[in-house]
Amino acid sequence: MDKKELVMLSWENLWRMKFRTILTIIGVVIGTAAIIIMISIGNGAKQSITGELTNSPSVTTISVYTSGQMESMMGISTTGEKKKKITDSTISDISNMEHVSAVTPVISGGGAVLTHKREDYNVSTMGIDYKEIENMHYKLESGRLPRSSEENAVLIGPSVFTKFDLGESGFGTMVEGDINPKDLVGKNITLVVQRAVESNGQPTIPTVANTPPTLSENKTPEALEESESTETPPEAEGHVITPTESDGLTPTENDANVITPTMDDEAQVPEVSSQPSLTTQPPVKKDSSEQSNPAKSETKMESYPVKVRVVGVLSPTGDQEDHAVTMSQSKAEEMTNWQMRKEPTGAKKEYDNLKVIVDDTENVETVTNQIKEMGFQVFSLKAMLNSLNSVFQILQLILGGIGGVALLVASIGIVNTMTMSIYERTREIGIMKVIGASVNDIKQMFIVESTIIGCIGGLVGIIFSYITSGLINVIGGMAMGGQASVAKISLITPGLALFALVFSTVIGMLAGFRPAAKAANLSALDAIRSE
Amino acid sequence: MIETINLRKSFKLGKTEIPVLKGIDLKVKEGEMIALLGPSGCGKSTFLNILGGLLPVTSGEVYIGGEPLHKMNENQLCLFRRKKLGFVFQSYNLIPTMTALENVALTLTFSGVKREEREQRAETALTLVGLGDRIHHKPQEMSGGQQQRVSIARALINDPDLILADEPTGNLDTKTSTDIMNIIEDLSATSSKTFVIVTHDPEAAEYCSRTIHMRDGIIENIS
Repeated sequence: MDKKELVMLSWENLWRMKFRTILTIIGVVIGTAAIIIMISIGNGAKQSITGELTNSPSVTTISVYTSGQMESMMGISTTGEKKKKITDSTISDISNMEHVSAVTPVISGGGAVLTHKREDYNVSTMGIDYKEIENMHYKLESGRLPRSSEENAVLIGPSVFTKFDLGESGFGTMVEGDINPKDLVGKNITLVVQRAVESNGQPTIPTVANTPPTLSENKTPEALEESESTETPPEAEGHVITPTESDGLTPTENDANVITPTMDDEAQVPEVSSQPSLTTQPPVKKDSSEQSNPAKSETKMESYPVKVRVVGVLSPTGDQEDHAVTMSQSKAEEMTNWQMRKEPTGAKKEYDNLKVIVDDTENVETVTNQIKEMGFQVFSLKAMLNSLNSVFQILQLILGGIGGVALLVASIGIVNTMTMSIYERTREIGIMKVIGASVNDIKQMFIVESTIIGCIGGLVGIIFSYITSGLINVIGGMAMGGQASVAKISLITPGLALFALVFSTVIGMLAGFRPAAKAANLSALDAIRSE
Repeated sequence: MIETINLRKSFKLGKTEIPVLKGIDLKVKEGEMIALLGPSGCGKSTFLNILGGLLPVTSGEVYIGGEPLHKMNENQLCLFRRKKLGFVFQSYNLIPTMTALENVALTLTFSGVKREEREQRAETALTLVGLGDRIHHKPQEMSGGQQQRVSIARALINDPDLILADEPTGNLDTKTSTDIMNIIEDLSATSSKTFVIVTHDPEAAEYCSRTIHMRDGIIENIS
């Protein structure tokens, strides 16, 4: 019997018992759809989490740490083995490597306060080598990149003003700041770093001699503006000590123990904002400092303002820059040195952290391995993506497995239908054998029948899945707010659909084997005698 | 056409063997129309099923058209039936969900004949037995006589050398029985096909050229 006739005959056989065939097919449809939808949800989750990262420029970035640093960050105590230090020679070694397009030390600041429109924003700062900035694959939302000579130019991340709000419900949400970072482009801002005054209460000798500290203490808005022009003159050796406790005389909305004026957008002090250096601050107004001095408190904080000019806003990188103010290496060193009370060492510099930019995603791994061989700890978004992907693969396997159970049940349904069909059609099988159907004809006929059930079930299942997936995305999108356009909850790839079809067809075929063998082995004579 | 030598068949019932055929020697020439007559349980149906390759022999030899049935395996027997044999049963054995045409054409499906040719040949065969106007009816829409004619048409469709009929008139009234026997007699007369008809109706046996009387698993006499 030729293949086409066989399929035709099997098709007709199924059609003759359409009710049961349709019920069985529905079982397969549900099974197939369960697998597809389960895996598609895994796909969607993977897509929404890794997709954004994959396209971000940070994917070509490798972070280099001194060995042991990562462990101590994670609270793992390191053994006393000698740590390899990151020095300028390390930087030149790495920049000489193949595929490396830029290397810069990263000077991470301990955080600074940026005040804008009477609101304080805690921002982190990071300093990078501006000579390399052209090669660092930064994309800008607005503005421009700073030139290597512009020590006071900074870039701000797109999420600098985004706050993490715990809210009343206890669920944390990211709240967009009221300020659009783009508004700051081209403007001067003041970043303020703080440190505790040394316990003896005596003003400490500023480590950076020519940078006077500012005073700041619970000022009214008026006082804030005023204080812009009240910075301690350069000749003032000591820092102004600012008590943390309010003296109660000037209650304001600013209850933070230290605030400094940071924005010059009022253009009240144009001569200040245009100053590239801090050394030429206007003289202080005595009344302002006297106002804050009498306060009595235990912990005393001192502040150190740095005036900088925003030249651009970065596009999201998926890295620390997003929430930071990126500044020149020298400016960042100046700030940390003051904060850590470190003397600027003219000697061999050591760095905690390097950023290495690789020319192409493909080469990240090669460069990573090379740097690892040098004895440093390396972290790259690419490596994290790789491990994320394997996590999602496992997730998909688990989800697919859950769907697989549904298809397994459906395949038992097929076996059941085919077996019942044999009992019902015993006589018919006998007749076919008597009039000349061979053992193989009967066997193939049953296998083809169950394969057709699997195949049609798979096809309908795919259609059903696409519809369901669409509904999930629409309904889920509405529930999640406007983010649906960005991230799909359920994502069916053509490969997944094809896999499901092949899988259900094979399941159908396998389910037919045993019943088919059983049918083929029926004795023709017994079969035609049965009722 | 048919030759059996010391053909024996016994069935196992539990641990005891019950002999049904106790040594049958028979020769049937091509074109003959033979009636197997005898009381119930004499083994005539068993004998017919052995001739049709539906039952294996216990011992002895069976040749049909020179081919040794007793040596064939299941698949060879299937092929043999497909090419050389036609069956007519007392209970018609039509597939209830198929029309007359489909029932008749089914045999040719297994032989790999194309659909148009199958249907054309099935229609010719049905017309030959006088059912040209009922080809699209299903078995339950037809009378017993009509169903038996469909099954005769099915037995003829593959142009077999031997047609085996197991009580073809057993379920039919006298008049219809006569019709069926007339059709078979005509077919026998107009072709060189060999017919073996099992019956316990002496009237039906009268249509045949020879009648073989069986009793208790042996041939009692041939008339």
